[in-house]
Amino acid sequence: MTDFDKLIQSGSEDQSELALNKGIRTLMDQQLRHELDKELKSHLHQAGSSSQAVVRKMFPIKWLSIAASFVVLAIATFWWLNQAPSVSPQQYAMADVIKHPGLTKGQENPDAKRAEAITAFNAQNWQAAATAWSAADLKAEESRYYLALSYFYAGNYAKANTQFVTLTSANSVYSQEVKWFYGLSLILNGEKDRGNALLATIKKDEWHYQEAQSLLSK
Amino acid sequence: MSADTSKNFHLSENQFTEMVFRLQSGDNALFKQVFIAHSADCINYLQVTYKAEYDEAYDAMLDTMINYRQRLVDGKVSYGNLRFLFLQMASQHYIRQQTAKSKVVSADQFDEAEEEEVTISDDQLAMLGHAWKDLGEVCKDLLKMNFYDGLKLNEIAKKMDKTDVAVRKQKERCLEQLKNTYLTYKGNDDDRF
Repeated sequence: MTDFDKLIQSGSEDQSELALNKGIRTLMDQQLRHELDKELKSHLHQAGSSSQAVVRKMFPIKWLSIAASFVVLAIATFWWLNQAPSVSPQQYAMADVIKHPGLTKGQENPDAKRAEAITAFNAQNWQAAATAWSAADLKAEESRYYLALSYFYAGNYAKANTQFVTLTSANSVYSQEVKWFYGLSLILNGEKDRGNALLATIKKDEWHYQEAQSLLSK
Repeated sequence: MSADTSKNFHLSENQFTEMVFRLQSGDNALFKQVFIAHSADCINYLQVTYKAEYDEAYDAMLDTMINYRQRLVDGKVSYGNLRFLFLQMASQHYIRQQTAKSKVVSADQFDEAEEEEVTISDDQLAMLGHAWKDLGEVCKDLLKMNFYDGLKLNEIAKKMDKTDVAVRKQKERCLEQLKNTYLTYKGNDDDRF
């Protein structure tokens, strides 16, 4: 197998085109897959909801499931109350709800889209914030950072990660925050090893070092 | 005639040609309509034949649709028994998924062609997605027509009412721009934590 970056940076136009060809097709396939998934779910849901007989057969199973859920809940509560206090990545995820300061570190560039995005973000209206930040200038680090956080708080970790990954420069003004949030986001997206590896890069004097160590020690 | 169409998603040969033509023009609507209508049939087939879980069958079917589209665009599917091909491909996708899960590849399962493919990580793809968004609409259309819809440069030139040479030059510029924007987003690896 040949790595994408290796081909892009090979200096050969043919190699570079080969890589970009593959990349563009993969992007297009991803987009089509997303569209098909959305339309299929709606189609299959409609087809499924028309089969009432199946639903009736499921009726006793449904009540059994509810009863079983109560038992599991009771056991889980008992177990949890007997545990030493510990914090999960999920709890950490909503522990720091960042507020946008209103002005960008090092620059002032107020415009309507940005103002709308900041308002939605500070109102914790994550979907609206994500939409508004998406429409802002994504070449700016600030837009990508707050777009990533909007997706993160909305629980859309996969999308948050596609933004966080563009913010991993050590020179970024958000580098400490990104290490923490991107690490959490990877873990919550099921990529525990990558998330832990990122949390392990948080230095002693950096933001959330203790919390990162606490998660890593689990 | 009716027996033939039932094996071909109820499409006549002319309708099939129309679907392929539309795909090559960047229009997925008819393709989606036909394949979504037959999705439940495919999932059911995988569940019955391989005792597949619903989610696994659903994923395999989605992958098959994407792959089938590419084959149609490349002219690698001929009219005859479209349904049979769809189910066969779905079976292969499902089996491949299960094999990948076990992470053990035996000699007879080893696919040399797959080894030679370009590998793109999720991170690289995400950054390429950003660079793609920054590209102008004309470049996006041109590259999509050439790489995804399978059109040759002379066919694109006709569509864009330009000369072959002009389109070739423009494609080179678009690729250069996409590459440079990607590298800008990527930055220097040494600069990353």
